[in-house]
Amino acid sequence: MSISVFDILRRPVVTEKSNYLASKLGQYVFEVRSEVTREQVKTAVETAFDVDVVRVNIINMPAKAHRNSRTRRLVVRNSGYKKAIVTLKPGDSIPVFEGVE
Amino acid sequence: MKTTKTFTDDHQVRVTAEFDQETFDGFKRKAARKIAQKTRIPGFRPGKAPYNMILSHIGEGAVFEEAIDLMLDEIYPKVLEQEDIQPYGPGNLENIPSQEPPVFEFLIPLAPETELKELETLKLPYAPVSVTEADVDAFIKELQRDAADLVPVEGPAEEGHIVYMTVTATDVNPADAENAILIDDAPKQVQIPTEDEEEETEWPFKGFSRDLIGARAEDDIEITYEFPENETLGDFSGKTIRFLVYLQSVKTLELPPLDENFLEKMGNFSSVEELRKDIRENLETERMETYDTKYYLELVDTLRKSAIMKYPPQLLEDEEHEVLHRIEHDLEHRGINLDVYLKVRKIEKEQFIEEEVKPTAKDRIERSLVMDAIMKHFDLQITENDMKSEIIKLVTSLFTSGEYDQLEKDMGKRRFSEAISAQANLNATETSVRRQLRLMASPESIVNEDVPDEVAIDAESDDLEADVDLLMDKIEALVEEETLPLAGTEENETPAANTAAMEGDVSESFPIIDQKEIEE
Repeated sequence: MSISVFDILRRPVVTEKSNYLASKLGQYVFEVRSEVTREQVKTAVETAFDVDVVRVNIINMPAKAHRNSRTRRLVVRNSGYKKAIVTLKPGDSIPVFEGVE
Repeated sequence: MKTTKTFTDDHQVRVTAEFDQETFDGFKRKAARKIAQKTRIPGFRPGKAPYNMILSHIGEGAVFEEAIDLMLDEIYPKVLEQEDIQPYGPGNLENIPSQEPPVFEFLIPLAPETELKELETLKLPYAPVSVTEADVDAFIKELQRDAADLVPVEGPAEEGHIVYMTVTATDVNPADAENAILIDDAPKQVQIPTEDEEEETEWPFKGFSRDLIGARAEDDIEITYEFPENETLGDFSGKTIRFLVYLQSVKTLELPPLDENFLEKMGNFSSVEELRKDIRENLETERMETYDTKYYLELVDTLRKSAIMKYPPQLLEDEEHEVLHRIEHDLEHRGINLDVYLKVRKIEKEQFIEEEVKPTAKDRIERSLVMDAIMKHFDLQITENDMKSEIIKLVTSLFTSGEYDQLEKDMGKRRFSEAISAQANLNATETSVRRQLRLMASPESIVNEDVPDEVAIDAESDDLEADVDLLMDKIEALVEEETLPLAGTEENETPAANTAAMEGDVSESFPIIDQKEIEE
């Protein structure tokens, strides 16, 4: 079973930092499925947004663990995810981040 | 910025102002930034989110409203300047016919305008009524009556005697025998009037007390009277009533002789002549003041009739509030609130406002407008001397009435001195307007009236029994405090502020009810 484009890209990451990357460096940040590769992200972004991808950097965001203050037990509160930073060819842009421009 | 204006009938102006989109966008961004400071958008520190992010997060509507608020603050003064509008008060944003590009419609109340006519032909002889010996006699009689003793009379009751009695009223043809007695043994007292003095409203009917003439103390008298149908005393209407009157006692007023005792009681006068002189002086001042008020009101009203006055409805509304507020305040001083007052007068609040507050407010506004116009027309200035003498008058009157310390304590030193200077300013304005009016209307009456202020001050403070030195110190201190910052205040004086000068006490024009009525 082949994975569709929208299975690969889970959601755009919109934060102050990603906003800076997009506007200054032409890099767009997505949360992606944890088992996908750079190549898959590249293809997905190119087909989904009709842009040219120059480079894909991938980082595995660790799960953030919190300790329960009452029971002092270690409780994992949010799962980790894979983050892809996609660098586009200069001049290209992704409209999903519209409302951010 | 493109603006057009049209004048409305009620002295307001409708201004349409059109702006270009760029200016408005700038304000939208400013607004978004302002909102972002207070809103948390996930992923961004407060105030750091980009414009579009804010827009999508909080919605365009909120940004738009905020932008308009910001814009109005900035452009409204410019609109006024460009269209050369003298506003009375804050304008209203009536309508936004278009958002892109933004077009605003303002409705702005204009500052009142007064055009005085017939100013040159204004004539009214100034003729205060002088005090005669008879007036003084009458006043002394009044004083004597106040100090008189009640002495029981042996013989029959006569005119002028005071009769103490108990009254029982019985219905002669009762519809139902149990309720035949309408009044049971109620104590009454009455002074028997002369025929001229008889009043239509006498209780229970006109001529009742004169029927008592000739009776003696401890007599029983029977009086039967047929009341007409429309009798105001509800119970008696259309009935024949038999009154059984028992005279407890008959007394007469024994006037004290004009001797040393009496003189001493009246305020340490050494002779009757001195008392008469004092009374005469007091009566003269009193009459002079009443006449002055009447005279100037008449002049102002004459001018007002012919004057062309334009003012926006807001001015009238504000004044109505002010009048109503003052009435409430005055009533509070007498320990009643407005609701009780209205109940006693049997009048609805709406009706009260419509019939009494509104006309009063209108009078006050128009009079003050006339006064302002006179000030402007003759370019009257309030001098430092005027201010000084007004302050001194105020402080002196407060001192003599013993309110000074209490007021100062209540209001705080700063507010108190501000209030005094504001009031003095109003008084000084009024004085100068009055002087000017009289100069025009009756120039021949001002011959040797121009007493220098200093003399007037001396005369007033000499009369004081209080510690004169202390008083003068306080006055000096106040005068120094007041006069300095006041030099420039005349210019920004609003017409509404002046209204108080015309009639110090609003409630004067309203019927005054006394405590007894309320209790009933």
